[in-house]
Amino acid sequence: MLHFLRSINSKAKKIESSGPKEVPPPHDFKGISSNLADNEADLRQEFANISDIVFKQFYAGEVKILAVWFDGLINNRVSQDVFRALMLDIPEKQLLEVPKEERTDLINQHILPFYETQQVKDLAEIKRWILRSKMILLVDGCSSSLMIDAESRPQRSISEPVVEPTVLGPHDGFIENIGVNTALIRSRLGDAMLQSEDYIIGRRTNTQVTLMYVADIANPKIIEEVRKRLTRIDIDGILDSSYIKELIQDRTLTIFPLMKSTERPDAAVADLLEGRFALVVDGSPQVLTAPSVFIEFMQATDDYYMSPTVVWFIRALRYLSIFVATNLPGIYVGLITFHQEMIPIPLVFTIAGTREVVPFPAIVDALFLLIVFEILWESSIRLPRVVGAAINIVGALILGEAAVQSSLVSPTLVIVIAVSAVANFALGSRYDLAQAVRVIRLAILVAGGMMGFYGIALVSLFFLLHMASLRSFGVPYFEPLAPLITRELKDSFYRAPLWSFKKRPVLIAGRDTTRIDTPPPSPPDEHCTAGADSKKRRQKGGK
Amino acid sequence: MNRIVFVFLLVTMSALFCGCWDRVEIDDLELVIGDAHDLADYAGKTGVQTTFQIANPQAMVSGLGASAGGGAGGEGGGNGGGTFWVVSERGETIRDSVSKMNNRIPKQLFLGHERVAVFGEKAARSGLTPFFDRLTRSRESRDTKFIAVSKGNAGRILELESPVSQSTTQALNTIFEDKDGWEGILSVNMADFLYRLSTGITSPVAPLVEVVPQTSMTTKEKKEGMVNTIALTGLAIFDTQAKLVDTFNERETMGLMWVINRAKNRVLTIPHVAGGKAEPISLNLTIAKSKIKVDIEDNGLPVFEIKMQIEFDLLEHFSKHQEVIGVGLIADLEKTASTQVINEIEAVLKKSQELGTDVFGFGEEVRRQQHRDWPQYKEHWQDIFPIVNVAIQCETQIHNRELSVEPPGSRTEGEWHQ
Repeated sequence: MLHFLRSINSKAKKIESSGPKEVPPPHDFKGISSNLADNEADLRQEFANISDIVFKQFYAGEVKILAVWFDGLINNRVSQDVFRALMLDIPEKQLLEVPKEERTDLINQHILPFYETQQVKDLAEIKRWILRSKMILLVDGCSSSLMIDAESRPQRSISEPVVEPTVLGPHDGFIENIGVNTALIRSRLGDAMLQSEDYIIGRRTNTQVTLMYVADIANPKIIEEVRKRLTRIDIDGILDSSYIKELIQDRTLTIFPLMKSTERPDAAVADLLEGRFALVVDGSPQVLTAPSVFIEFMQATDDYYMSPTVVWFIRALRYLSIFVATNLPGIYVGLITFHQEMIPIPLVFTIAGTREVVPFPAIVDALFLLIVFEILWESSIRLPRVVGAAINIVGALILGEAAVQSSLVSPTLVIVIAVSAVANFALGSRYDLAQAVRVIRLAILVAGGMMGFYGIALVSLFFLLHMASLRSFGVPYFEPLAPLITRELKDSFYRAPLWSFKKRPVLIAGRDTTRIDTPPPSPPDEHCTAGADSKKRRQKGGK
Repeated sequence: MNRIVFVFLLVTMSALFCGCWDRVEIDDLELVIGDAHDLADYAGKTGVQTTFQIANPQAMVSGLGASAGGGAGGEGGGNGGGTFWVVSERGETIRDSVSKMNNRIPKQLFLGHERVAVFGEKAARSGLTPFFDRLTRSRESRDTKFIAVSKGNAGRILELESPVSQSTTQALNTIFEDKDGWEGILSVNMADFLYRLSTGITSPVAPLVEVVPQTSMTTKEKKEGMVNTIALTGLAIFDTQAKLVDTFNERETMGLMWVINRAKNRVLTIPHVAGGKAEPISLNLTIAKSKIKVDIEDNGLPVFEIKMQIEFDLLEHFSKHQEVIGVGLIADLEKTASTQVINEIEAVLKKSQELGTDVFGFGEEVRRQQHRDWPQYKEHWQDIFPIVNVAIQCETQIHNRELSVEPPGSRTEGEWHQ
């Protein structure tokens, strides 16, 4: 994985090639001694009471070598190759022929030339490398050691994204291994300007976080801001990218997502190309991208894989469904308790007729049904898969059907809540926005039930003002609607054809702002149209 | 900090301005779907009788409907099983009579969904202005409510059951909404009526609704005694004080509708003389446009020119003659149709001039087109209208005759296109 740490043709910025950045508390440099026994004693003391560490001593020719690694975190085949090369393939005297201090150099450069290796002299660094699943070779008589990247952590294979499935487009998703995740991004974005910086965050978990951005697109101020926010983090453990998200986003106490987390490499690359940065966190299949704006959460990845004219319709549908999901229960209850005169006349009889036998006020009814639905949602996530089907039957069939039959809720209300719930899931694949919608729906329902449309307007206004006040890494959340950037509305409520996206988002992309410089496709000239001649002939004949 | 306190106060206070106490559940409302107003004796004086038709939504939803055999109760009575019930009370004012209803109505009366208001003939003759006060003063009724005038008692209209709709007012509402401009049906809602009334020169009109014997009865309906139903039979003509003056029959109503651009769907049957015998041909109206032009004559009187442009489709040729309708004949038909239309317009014109009721809005036209001269006519319009000259022109086109060029079985088949 070291190739990610290498300086990648970067002129703008130097990236140190010696190991990860020293983000965790700085340590005192303690060089290793040239006596192998001392070093071993030191390391054994450091890793006392750890049973799954392996100290393997062996001889390369006549030189004693100590290999240290954690059991199960090293690729067996690679480690065997190391041992074969050192124990069997090496000429007997070769290591003795060079000065003692150059032994690791020799091994590094002549005997094990094909691995990701690195010379390390600092004992603390050695310790950290071992903890980060690397193998360390300590050579007798030499005051430097050799780190070998033969990491093989347990991991699942690349699979279809779970949260953001699409019909069209690529089907691979991020997994829990940061090396694989960054490789998925880099294999899609083969540009030397795609730069990455590593951070080790978490005093105890030592989790690797990689900041990726396209250097000549991204706004340097935003990147500087991320660096600042990342280095500010001092936490004992990072278990998922959402930890990072919560620790660095502009505002924590909001229901709206301020950073997009995506499982899809293509989505991450699209964001990088717009000048956003990506944060890949080890152990998390969700890659964070930011700055994020609201309309992004209304877009799905495969919006760009379908004909734009179709997407107009789909986007409209999505905006309709966010309205329905948030407002429908509130509007319904507001209508039937405050504004009966606004219901269309045939409908008023239907609603009044079905409500006649229901004992509770409409707001109680609606709250009851909505909360039951929320409980069902919550429990269906937590339930073991095996019992899930049974609960679905109880929830959907028995509760819904029986509630209506026993006249506890009116059938119209069941439809209203059901439509609103279904619309909740039509919001592309943005799970974090769907969570926000749940909260808004409840607020609007309560307001609608207590104050009618006035209350709905009040609550909507509150949320609108709140959203307009949000910023993601300094970028207004409602960009490009507020502040209005008409040019960028091309990808908001509708999607214009790709060739018309001439510029990148102006508030996000800092430097290279031209995205596409292709004229729109046009039909071929007449002379190369098949059958043009016969057409001409026909026209002549007609005259 | 101050800002937070300010916003907090703003939100809590605005939340308190209105609140749960204004909440009324929809099932706590008595949904009035139609009302009828009559003049009646009350405490030795002339009072009003108000009749409400109230929906029974539960029956409407569960489809008990007319099949449940309930239907309307008598005056002041109710019937739990039917789709509606009728309450009627007398009082000095409408509000007075409504307040008396509360003794027998379980829930809160809600007038927001009234669809039709029917006024009795007697009430209409005495003038509708006092009745409109209740309807316009409060916001609870809509201006889009349709109004109608009944021959005889208006409450009777609401008490009847409709053979197809859930109640008579719903039947009337459907007719007014869907069949406005068909044949002799002219929908008039409160806003239309009050607009005409407010001009002071144009006569308001309202459709005339009548109880008629039901001609198509199922045995079940006969058994249940549903022998009557309601029908629209013309137009009630008011003077500028909203007093009923006279009525138009259907033909006269159709004549009016040509002029005021309201004819939408019409089957016009005209004689077609072929082989010395007149045979009826039915034409279907597709487009009808009228233009009224006003000029001032030398004698100072305004003169009107009505230009009609009408297009028909040929709908039916009821004929034993299997004769092709040629282009020349079509021209004849067009002429006949025009004459028929002009006759209709002239009939209604004559009647309204005799009555002195400007149902066409001619006065309005003068005001619009000759607005400099209008002030001198304004005060005397009631005297001028009966004597103005009106010229009527009608251009008719008949289309779509080629769909069926000749009647079935024609021996001339196949000749026409050569």
